[in-house]
Formats: sequence, structure tokens, C-alpha cells
Amino acid sequence: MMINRILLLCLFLLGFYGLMVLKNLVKKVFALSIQNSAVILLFIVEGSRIGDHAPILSEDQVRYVDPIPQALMLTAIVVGICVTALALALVYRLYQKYESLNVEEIQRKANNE
Amino acid sequence: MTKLMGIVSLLLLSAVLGPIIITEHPWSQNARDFLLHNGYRDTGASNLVSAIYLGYRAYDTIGETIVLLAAVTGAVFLIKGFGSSHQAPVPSYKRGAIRTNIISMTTGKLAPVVMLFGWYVMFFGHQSPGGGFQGGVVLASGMLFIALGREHHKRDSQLTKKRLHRIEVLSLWLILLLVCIPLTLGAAILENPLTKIGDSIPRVIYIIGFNMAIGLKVGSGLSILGLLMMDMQHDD
Amino acid sequence: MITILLLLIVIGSTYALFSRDLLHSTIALSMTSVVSALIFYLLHAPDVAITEAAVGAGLSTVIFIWIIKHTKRSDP
Repeated sequence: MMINRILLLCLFLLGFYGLMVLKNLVKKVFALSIQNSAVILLFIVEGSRIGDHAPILSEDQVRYVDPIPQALMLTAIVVGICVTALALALVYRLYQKYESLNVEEIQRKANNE
Repeated sequence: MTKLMGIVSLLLLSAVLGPIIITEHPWSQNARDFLLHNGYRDTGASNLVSAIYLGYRAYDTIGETIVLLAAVTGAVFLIKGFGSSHQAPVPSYKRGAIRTNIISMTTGKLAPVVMLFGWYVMFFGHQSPGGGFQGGVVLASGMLFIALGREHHKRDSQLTKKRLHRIEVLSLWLILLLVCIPLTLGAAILENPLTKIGDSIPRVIYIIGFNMAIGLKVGSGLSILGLLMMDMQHDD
Repeated sequence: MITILLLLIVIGSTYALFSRDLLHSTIALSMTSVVSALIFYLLHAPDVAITEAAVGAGLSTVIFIWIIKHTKRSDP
């Protein structure tokens, strides 16, 4: 249905706005994770339109949901959490060196050195 | 100023993505019909999602395993620092932190149940929902439960970080071995080799072996990351 | 049904991005993951539901709480 896709577009745009405008580094990583969730939800919602049973083979002939988007999204979820973990490790190192989580303060301190 | 640029770029992005979202288009059914008729015969798994990511697109699974290895290595290296630039943190139950009895008793008693569930999800991935990644992540959560409930165990867990490193390296070797074995039996490099032999050996053994190797790798990698982040120094 | 749950996800994400306490943001993000896992189950995708529930509500929350503990907890 169209209203589901429009809500998912709003979620993607919200994540993009957060990534660009917010100044706290941890909130930027939150926004990246929200964008990831939006794309994964869009694929699964689109792939489930053509059937009404989970794609596990059984004896009777039923209409199954498309299994290809589900297999691709398994990989996408694991890669998303890897990116989040590595980004937060980088934020930790930045905080250790500059004692602040604000992007503008870090830029100012790095320019003054 | 930044907010104005943010709103302008949001409008531009919605103008690009809008026509894709709003138009109605049918979702094609050819892929599902092909997998319905040929999935079990080619790979031997009745869970179609497992048949895809372990049979038809196993190369993506190998790539994802390498991404996980790179991320865990990078994060561990960044957190530990370049040597000993700061002193090792003391585990929280020695510092006198607020550790009530409820948490350590609940997690200490529930940890074997979670690990058993993780092994079940990993082992039966070919015929019910589950598989390598899911079982691996549940195993990592079980390891965190063991680390949280240490007071009630009254002895240290046998799975120290060094042993987890060894398990991870061994499972990587097992995955590489399983990738190369089909070459010796006459199939392509990532195909199920037991479909070519005949019906003497059940075909699901290859899928189960692959699932367990991936589950062990994912579980040990993520539990190293989780244990490092919880300051639980088993040994180092 | 799916529309109402998606609306809940959008509201939770908005609160996660615009709150001043980072611990509240982490809890809202964990709620987003759990509701997302429920949506995956309702759309006949059990593999993805198990993965999203274990990863989003388990390991992702542990990682975020670790970073909050070792840096500042409040936004400004």
C-alpha cells in the first residue's frame, strides 16, 4: 500500500536530516542506524506482497512470500551493526583525544593545533 | 544556516525518491516460482532463505563473514589503544558498583538455557527459521549473560578471550575448507558437492556444516566485542 | 495494522533523535528494533525477525550503552 512506503520515505529522510544537522557525534550514529532500518523495512514490505506464507517448503501447495529480499536483508542487518560498532569505536577515540563530542568544537580544536 | 541547508537538501532528496515511492508497480513472481521448483533439488535445504544464502549466493555470505572479521578487528584495535596508554579498567564487581543480586542470579541461571537455544537455532537452520547468523548472535548474547552473572558462578568461565580468539580463527579455517572441498568432488567451488554423488549421503550435511562454521565465527567475534565493551577482563 | 506500527517507529525515531538525554535515545532506538522485529514476523519473514530481534535489541543496545558510559550522557 502506498501509505506504508510514504512512511518509510519519511523515516529515511528523518535519518538523513539527523545525519546532516545534528551536532552530537553519537546522535549522528543513531541517525545512520535509523536509515539502515528504513531501507531494510522497505525491502521486506515490498517482498511480502505476492504471497501469504513464510518461505519454508511444506507438502501442500501454498503461495509463498518472495524469499530473495529476505536473504539479502540478513546480510544487510549484520553489515549495519558492524558499521555502527566501528563508528562508535572511532567516536570513543575522538573523545579521548579532544574531550568533546561536539563537531564544531572538535574542528576548532583541531585547527588550533 | 545548517538547518536551512538541511531542509533544502531534504526537499531535493524527496524530489528524487518521490516518484519511485509513489508509483504502483507489480512485484514479479518469477524468482519465487523458480525457487519453489528447484530449490530443494539443487541445495538440499527446505528453508528457502537458507537455500539462497548458502547455496545460490554463498559468495555474499563469505563476503559478510570477512566484513564482520574486519569490523571486530578494527574495533578491538581502536578500543585497546596503541599499547597501554591508559590503565586497564577494574571489573565493576570489584569496584563496589551497584550490582544487585537480581541481575547476577537471573543471568547466571539463564545463561545455559540461552546457549542451548542458540545451538538449536544454529543446528536446525535448514528446515525451520534460523541458521548461522541468528544462532551466532544468540550465542554471543549467551556469553554476555555468563559474564554478567559471574558472582553467582563462584568461579571464572572457561571461555577466556584467548580461547574465543582461537575458536574464531579455527572457524575461519573451517569455512575456507568447506569452500574448497567441492572442488575435489567434482562440483563448482561453492556448490553442494553431495548432490553430485547420489543418494547415499544425505545432502543436508554440507548445509549443516556450513551453518555451524558461520555460527561459531559470528558468535565468537561478536562476543569478543561484547566482552571487551563490558570491561570484563577474564585475562589479557 | 502495519501502518500503525510504522507510525510508532517514526514517532520513536523522532524522539530518539531530538531528546536531550542520550539514555532515553538508546531506549527509544531499542524499542524501534523490537517493533521492527514484530513487523517482520507479521509480514511472514521469520528469519529476518530473529536476526533483527537478537541484533537490535541485544547487541546494538549494549554497544550504545557502552559509548554513553564512557563519554558524556547529556547532549549539550
